[in-house]
Amino acid sequence: MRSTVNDESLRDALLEIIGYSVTSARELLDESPHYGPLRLIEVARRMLDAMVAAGLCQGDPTDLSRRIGDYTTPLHEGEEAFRAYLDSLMIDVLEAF
Amino acid sequence: MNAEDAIRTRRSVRRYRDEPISSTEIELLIDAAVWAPSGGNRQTWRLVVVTERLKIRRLRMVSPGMPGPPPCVIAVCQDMGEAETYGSEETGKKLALFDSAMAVQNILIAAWSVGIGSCVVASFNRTAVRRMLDLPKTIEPILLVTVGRPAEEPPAPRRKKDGIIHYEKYSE
Repeated sequence: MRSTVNDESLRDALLEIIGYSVTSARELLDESPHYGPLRLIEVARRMLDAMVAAGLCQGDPTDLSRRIGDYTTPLHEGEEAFRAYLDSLMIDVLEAF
Repeated sequence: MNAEDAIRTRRSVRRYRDEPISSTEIELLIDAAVWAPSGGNRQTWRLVVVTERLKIRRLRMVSPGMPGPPPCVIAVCQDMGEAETYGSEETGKKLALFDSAMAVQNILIAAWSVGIGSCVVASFNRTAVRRMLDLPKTIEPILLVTVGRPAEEPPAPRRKKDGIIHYEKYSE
């Protein structure tokens, strides 16, 4: 059965994520280790956005996307807050399935 | 908006509305950059303004620190061939970084004062950006600045004062 997904847009979005991931791997060799979790979260956010754009998400993923993108505030509040944010986000992602 | 308000209320904006930045606005930002001070007034900065959507998407692929997608990116570069001839090579390199940072700060403040958000990106792959922007060998990309109309209102991060400021001499 033919998918309704716009294959070209999805391919481009995935290529962007691949480029981002590879570059992140390279740059993280020289950057603060703290950036590692941020890069992974950003990959997650971009993948979700790509899925939404391709119509691959059921329901409304807006809130999850916003939650994933909202990492700067807990990050600035310190490691404890960032840990709590990630713990809570994991549950949100699980519940999205 | 006066300078103090712009300095205090400016935020790093990581989400932008899908609206272009006009050439007049870009001109304002560029003008602010070139009015920054520079070591020996040598003005060895070079600015590359990118507004092509596809090019910005590709820049984002090799710039992990880049939010967005922004409608405009200003690559603040230095002509290291020229910069390194000012005093020792080390001095020239240091001044090039200082000058770039001062030019970038001017861009940020000028942008914010007219309602344009921005974010400084230091995390990007120099080799890839150099190639993408066709930079000659002596032109070094120092920082990327994303600019666009804010789609968010970031809260003010904490500002430290304790232990930061010392008067007359440094005291533990």
